[in-house]
Amino acid sequence: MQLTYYNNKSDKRYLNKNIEQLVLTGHSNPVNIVLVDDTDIVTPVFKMSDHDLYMTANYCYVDTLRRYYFIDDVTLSEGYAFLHCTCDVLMTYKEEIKQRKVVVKRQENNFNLYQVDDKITLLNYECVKTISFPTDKGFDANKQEFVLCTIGNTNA
Amino acid sequence: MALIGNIRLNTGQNINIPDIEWGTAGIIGLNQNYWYYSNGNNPATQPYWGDVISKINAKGAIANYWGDVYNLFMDRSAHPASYWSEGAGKTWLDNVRAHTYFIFGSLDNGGTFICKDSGNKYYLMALRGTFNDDSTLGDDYAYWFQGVPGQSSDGLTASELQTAFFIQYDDINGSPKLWIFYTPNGLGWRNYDANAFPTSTYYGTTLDDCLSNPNWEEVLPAISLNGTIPENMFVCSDVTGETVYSSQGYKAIGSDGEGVYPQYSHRAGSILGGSRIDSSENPYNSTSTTSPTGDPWDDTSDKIPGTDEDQFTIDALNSGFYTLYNPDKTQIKAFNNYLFSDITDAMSQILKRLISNPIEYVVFCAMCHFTPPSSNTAHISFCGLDSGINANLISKQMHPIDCGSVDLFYIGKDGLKHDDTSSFLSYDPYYKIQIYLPYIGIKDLKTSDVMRGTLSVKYWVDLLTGACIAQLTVNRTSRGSHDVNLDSVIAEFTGNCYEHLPMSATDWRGMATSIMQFAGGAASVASGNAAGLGTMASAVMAEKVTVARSGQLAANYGYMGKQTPYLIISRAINQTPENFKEWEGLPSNITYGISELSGYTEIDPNTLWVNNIPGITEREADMIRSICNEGIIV
Repeated sequence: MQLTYYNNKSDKRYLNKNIEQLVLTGHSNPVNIVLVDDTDIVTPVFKMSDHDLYMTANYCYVDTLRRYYFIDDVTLSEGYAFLHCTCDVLMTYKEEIKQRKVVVKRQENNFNLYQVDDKITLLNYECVKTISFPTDKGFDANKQEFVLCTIGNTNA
Repeated sequence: MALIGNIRLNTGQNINIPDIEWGTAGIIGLNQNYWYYSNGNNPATQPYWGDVISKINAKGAIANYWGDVYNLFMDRSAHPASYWSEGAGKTWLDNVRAHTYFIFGSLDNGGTFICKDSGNKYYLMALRGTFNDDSTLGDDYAYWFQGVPGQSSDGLTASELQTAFFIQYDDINGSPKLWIFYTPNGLGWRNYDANAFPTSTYYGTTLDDCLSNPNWEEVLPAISLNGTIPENMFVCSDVTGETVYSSQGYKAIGSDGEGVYPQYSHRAGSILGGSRIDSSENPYNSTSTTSPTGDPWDDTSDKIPGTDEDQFTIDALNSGFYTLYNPDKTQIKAFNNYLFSDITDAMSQILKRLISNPIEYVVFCAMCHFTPPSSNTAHISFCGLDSGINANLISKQMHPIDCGSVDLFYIGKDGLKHDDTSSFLSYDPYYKIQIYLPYIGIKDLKTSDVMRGTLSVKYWVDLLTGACIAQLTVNRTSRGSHDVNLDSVIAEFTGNCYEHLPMSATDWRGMATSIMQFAGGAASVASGNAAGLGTMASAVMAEKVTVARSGQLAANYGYMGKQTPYLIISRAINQTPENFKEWEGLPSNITYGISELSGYTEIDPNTLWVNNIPGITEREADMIRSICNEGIIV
């Protein structure tokens, strides 16, 4: 089983990571490893000669398992190095994931601003403004007119 | 693929210029004196051509927008004759392709774009656009850099273009002001406003020198097409946006052949370095857009002053019916004794007259703040008696009073009517609208009923009683799907617009009792705990207290009140940080193929079926759904 060291420059959330294969003078990359007993392929522990340990690596690919891994931790014991890893499911299955058609809840470039967004924050005070109707129409405060009503008008 | 607008700084991003096309294929034309490029009709045949000629900037070129046609013009006389010889002109004419790529902005708002000639040379054009659809071009102009397309000595090679840097330069109000860019072949800074270098420069020995400058303001990040930015470079501007600062140690700004490669940019006090995202606008604050066809949303507030103390120049006392007294306690006791003491002969004459009191034939007398309609005059008569007093004769019982209308929209760049924020924040409960109606009071309106429409108010008054009804009409065009055109009365409210004048003591008592029944209108306050700052939208609105702004304003109260309707708008203010949509996304709820997307994405896990991927474990499938639900970057 062989492990290839990488330096991952992308945030974990990226589907397609920007990874750079490491080269260390005098060392080969990939390196030979074995899977430690009683670990699974999602959160494996790989064992290798400590001579093959790349301390600058934070990411790797294991050919037999055909998976990419984040290197979470490194321990050393009796001439061996142990890489504690977690599978990067996004990078491993990125091509298959891209083929899926899904309902997108939130998106950076495709959205509808008229849907209520509970993630935005509002200030606790409001902006209050007034809009007047035209002042040259309607009732006129400067007019004071009398209206007189009588009955029994024989001249009507 | 047409791509117009700001590009996003992203390390490693490359843009293949030949693949970018601008709109439809352009028409290259040649007037006797002007080159033009247009994506529509020959501008020389358009009625505004005379204005174009008279206003083309002597520096080089001008651009305008007329009837969906974008036009760019270059003044032949502004360049040496050798550029414009018939042969050279035709070469350029034939060779300029309709390929432009906008680094910043767009043709209708101005910006910087790249175009290419058939000699595989690239040219940058800084374009300021304030397009309007009349024939007045104003002071819009554009300027070509790196020479003239078609001239073999001019232009940038592709490799040179890949290492150029561009900076969008905002003024202190955050509006795009200048389009400055720098190219490594020595053109230095360019400011399209003045086709000149920044007005002054400042050099510091180190980045800290400039950081400590109290005038240091902000500039958007630099952008390079190949994504690489040399270290230890930065650029910034002062608060006026007029002065540019740059780090020393590189070639000074100020003359051709020199340049500075900006790396750092300062945004709100933080230093951004390395790979970074171009800052994007707050998507919920769209009111900053301006329109070539209309006015932006008016975010000012009209003053609604209180009742003017001097407005009551004529009152009931002027009618002659009334005399008001102010007796002290001795005098009021004396008047009481007069009323209930022995009747004298003089008093009996008066009493006889009181039994046949003519006032019984006056139904009412009132005052109002409008002129009732009348077509002629007549003597005031009652009970068969002609008083001989001439007065206007009111001709109709029902009288309309039009209070006009208010627009609750702004015209966007697309020529359509838009609400205040073009988002959910323009509607209840984030946006509340109340209306004050004379003689009625303040009423709540449903924002959805009136937003984006024209609200009209018209009263109908029954002149026999003073009863009035205010009808609110909304005229609004449809948004498109799931919407309709509206032109309807959406609310009616009632009141009374007379100030009735009592004709007798009995009359007054009855009227006063009626009036006092309408007194008050105390504000009611619903209790609620105040939400803290930065609380999420729905939680904030749920805690808002509701206050009644007026009681019932019938009759005499309304006579003293405001006589013009007005709206009271209370709208929530959002506090959205920069780059919000890049880090959190915006509500979508749309079905997409993931390969169609880019950027931050949250996926409904119930719709992401991955268990059938060959070799995947159940645990990995769950992990994929969980991570995609929380948000990934495609």
